[in-house]
Amino acid sequence: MRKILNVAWKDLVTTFRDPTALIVMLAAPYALTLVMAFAFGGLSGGGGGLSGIPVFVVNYDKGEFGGFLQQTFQSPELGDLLDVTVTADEAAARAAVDADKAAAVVIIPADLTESIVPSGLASGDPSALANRPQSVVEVYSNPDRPVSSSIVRSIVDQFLSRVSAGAVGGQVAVAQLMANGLLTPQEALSKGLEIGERAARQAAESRLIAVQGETAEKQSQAGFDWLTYMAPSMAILFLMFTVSNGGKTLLAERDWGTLPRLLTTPTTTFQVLGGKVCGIYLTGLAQMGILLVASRLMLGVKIGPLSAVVPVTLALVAAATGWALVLAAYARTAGQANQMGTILSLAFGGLAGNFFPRQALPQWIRTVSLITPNAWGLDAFGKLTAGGALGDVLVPIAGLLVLAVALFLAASVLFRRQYA
Amino acid sequence: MTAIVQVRNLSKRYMPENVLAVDDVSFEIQQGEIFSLLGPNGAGKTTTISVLSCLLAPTAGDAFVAGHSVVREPVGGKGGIGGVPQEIALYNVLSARENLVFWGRMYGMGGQQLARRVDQLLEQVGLADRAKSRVGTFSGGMKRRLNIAVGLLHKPQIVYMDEPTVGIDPQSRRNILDMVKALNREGMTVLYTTHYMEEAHELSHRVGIMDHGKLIALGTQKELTQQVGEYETLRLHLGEDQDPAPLAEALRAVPGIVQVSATDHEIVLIVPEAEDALPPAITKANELGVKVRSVDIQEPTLETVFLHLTGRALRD
Repeated sequence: MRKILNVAWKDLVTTFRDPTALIVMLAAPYALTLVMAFAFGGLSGGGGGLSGIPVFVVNYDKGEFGGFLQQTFQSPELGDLLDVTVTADEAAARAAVDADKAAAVVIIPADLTESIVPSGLASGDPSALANRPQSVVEVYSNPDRPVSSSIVRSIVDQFLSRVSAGAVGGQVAVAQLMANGLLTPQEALSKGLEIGERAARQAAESRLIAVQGETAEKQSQAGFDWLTYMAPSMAILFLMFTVSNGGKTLLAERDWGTLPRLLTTPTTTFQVLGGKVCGIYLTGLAQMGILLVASRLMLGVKIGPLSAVVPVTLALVAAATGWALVLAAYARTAGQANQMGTILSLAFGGLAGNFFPRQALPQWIRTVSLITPNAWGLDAFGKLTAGGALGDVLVPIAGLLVLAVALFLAASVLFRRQYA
Repeated sequence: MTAIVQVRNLSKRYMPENVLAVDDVSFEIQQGEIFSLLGPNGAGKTTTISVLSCLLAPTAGDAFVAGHSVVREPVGGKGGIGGVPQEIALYNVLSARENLVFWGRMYGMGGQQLARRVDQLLEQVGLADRAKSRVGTFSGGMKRRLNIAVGLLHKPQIVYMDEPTVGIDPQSRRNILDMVKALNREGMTVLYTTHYMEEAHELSHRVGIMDHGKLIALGTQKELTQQVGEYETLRLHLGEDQDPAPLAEALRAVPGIVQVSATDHEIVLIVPEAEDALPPAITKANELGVKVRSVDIQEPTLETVFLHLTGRALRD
């Protein structure tokens, strides 16, 4: 057993020291998850993707518009997405961002309301409009949380643009009233202030409705959370690339001369092959573990309870390893194994639904795809991300284990022919 | 002396090509000696070593390494063997130390014993200061030395070295030959294969000469050269634009010339007395208009033996 683990550990170390392998194993699936989720679902389609983004709001504005912006962040509609803390301690809030404990701080300046509705207008001073301050709402962002902080910025941008539109709308309304003789120039100042303020206030207040409307619209359009789907999907797709590469190394070791040398040591063929199999399995397991943890921590994807995720992952990697062994036993050269591995991984990805929702595939394809670990894995993770527990994924786990046993048996027959 | 390796009527036929790579070979290697298998490429040396390493099953016959049959108990015999393959068989992304530790564990070693042995071997092969460097950054000579160190890790009873100097610079080659001699002085038995006559000559206590899968001669260097009696080797170096074939053909008809072999720009004659054979050889060259640039006369060597036995030079 020590020799099997020695070979397995060597394979794990050599794989994780290969920069190209690291890109394929870790960087590529993570990047593709983001790209595909962004392209098809704007990162979060149904609230199941990013959630609980920690945000601080520092409101220096005593007027009503600062309050409107603060209320926008505290609205129930954004309750799942944001975890808002209103504070007066700006330094502490900035420190929380620096310490990666928050995604952003929204700093509402004291003159926000004044910049929208100058107080001088109410006392009849027309120059107050021209002399109103240029106010800046600052969003202090965490560069390590680019997606989360960009969401916070977009909320602020949308609020301010609506308020500005409301104010401009007031000015247009006053101009039209004057042109139609319904308003005298003497009345314009006070009426204009009243209309502009009302329009801006309505715009600010309607911010909540706007957010609610957009969220509801997206859900009805897609009804599908791309980020939550893509994170495990890309991990499974690239797991197949990784295990195929592991299978290839069995043939590559023959070319390097290390396999014959291993067989000149007091080690049986079974131990050498066992070590290679364990190496492929451990590498796949490490890759899946890293990707799933990264999806949870960096993208906020809720994969499911650990008690179910662990057995699904163990079974999934076992089935994937089975395919890698069949490939290694069938191919004659490392180059051939490499090509076959790439084709197999992409074909399995297309067949099982790694690139688009599996539910959208015709029934016959979904049935055929059950020969792939991808299909069972997607089914299992689909159930877990939808709130399922271990009991809900027993069938996919059983499917993966049956697949693994069948593939290991097939591989052992093929290996016996090669290494007998 | 005790025979540590006994080879009995060993044959190996590759299928489906149906190539008989080793044909009824028998020999013994005594404990503490350097035994060389000398022969041109394709002679069957590597196949023989592969069978003795339990990598290939023989088609017929058997071999015993430290008393273990390579056919019936292959794993039992492997512990006494240290293999140094012809191709460098190391992991490039692992460091020199990591490679040695990995291979040591495959030989069943571990703990402090392995750590000490790794340090000792790194010193011995001159790589102690590069212990933590990845093997992929090493020169060919450094890799060769580490390749040998792996085969010595578990202090085997016999080490097989399959053409360990192929493709390296003269200085690294010198280092390896000195290392082999030093190992042997410490009591290590060595099975060494080469197609370089000079290496076999320098290292070996006994030599087996292989050609076309057969062991065509076996013995000490003195015993082998005695097989060609008192013959000498006469080399005629021709100009680069000269064709040696017509002259070689003509010389075969000259009385007293035992063997004639022609390479690119050289004709090698085996003769009882070089001084007697030289005048008629030069005369024939003049008759055919072939320019002879220089002449060498050598005492009998392993190459003379090979030439005598096969009619071909080792480099053919």
